[in-house]
Amino acid sequence: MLRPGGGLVFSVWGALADNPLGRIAHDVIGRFFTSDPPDFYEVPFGFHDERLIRRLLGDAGFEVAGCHPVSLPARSPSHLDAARGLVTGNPILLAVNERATAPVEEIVQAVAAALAAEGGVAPFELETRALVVVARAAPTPSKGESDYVITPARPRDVPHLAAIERDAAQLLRGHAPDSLLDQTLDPAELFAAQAAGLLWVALRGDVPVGFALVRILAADLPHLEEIDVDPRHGRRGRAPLSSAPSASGRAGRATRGSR
Amino acid sequence: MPFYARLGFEELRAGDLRRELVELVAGETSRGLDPRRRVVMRYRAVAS
Repeated sequence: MLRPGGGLVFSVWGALADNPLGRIAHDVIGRFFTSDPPDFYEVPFGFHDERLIRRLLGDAGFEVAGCHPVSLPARSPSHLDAARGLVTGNPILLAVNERATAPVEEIVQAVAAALAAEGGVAPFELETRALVVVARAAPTPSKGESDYVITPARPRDVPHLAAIERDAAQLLRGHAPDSLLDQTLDPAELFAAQAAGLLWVALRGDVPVGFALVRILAADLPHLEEIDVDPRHGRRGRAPLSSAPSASGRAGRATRGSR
Repeated sequence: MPFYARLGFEELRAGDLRRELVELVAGETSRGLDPRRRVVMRYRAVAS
């Protein structure tokens, strides 16, 4: 775990399409195993979507200072040396040996020939592309948790909740239909819930940053209908809403409907 | 450990759901949520 405010700098390869070394190795090796081509090279060259990387870092509490594309030549004494490294110098060799239907040396020679066509023979040189990501762990949440107060909602809290709901829904993109993620609760329903004591908010400096709505499905069946936290205030370990159902007093049980 | 389980919510099997909850899940499904990726959980605020 990084210290609060600590730096995280890492690099990932660009796409196979932008990296002839990986692309050639992947394509040529695949030709030897047409029914079951090894997918190894899709792994190191498969994590290069800047938006995805930024989102994952943000969700994990990092601030991204920059994503920098880097392009550098890869050099080798010869195309054959490069090919030997690409076929026997990483876990692709396990996949080749596992299939055991083509001699490794034959594959090395085929990869070498394909490499030479694009990068020469000796010296051998081909461009590589990568992404260098510079991020920083979130600073210490100063006094942090004590700055949040969980309390029954007041009428004036209700107008803030749609924005929280929309922002929180962004975390679910790809896991639920966009049409649902763009929807927000009916304000009339929220006001009614507030009046009935079925709406709680997490306040930061008197401004709502999260809320929980309980709906009574039956006299003995309160349902935690909605629970949303502004992502900028998420993951503070307060789990506001575990306290909400019991806080309703009459609720022996609460149900919740999402994974 | 999944978030809600860590808070003490227990998973309810689809076959054990009360009518109200069956209807709730059906309503979600009709709005486009995949029921295979949903779960109904119960939180006991009072030990039984």
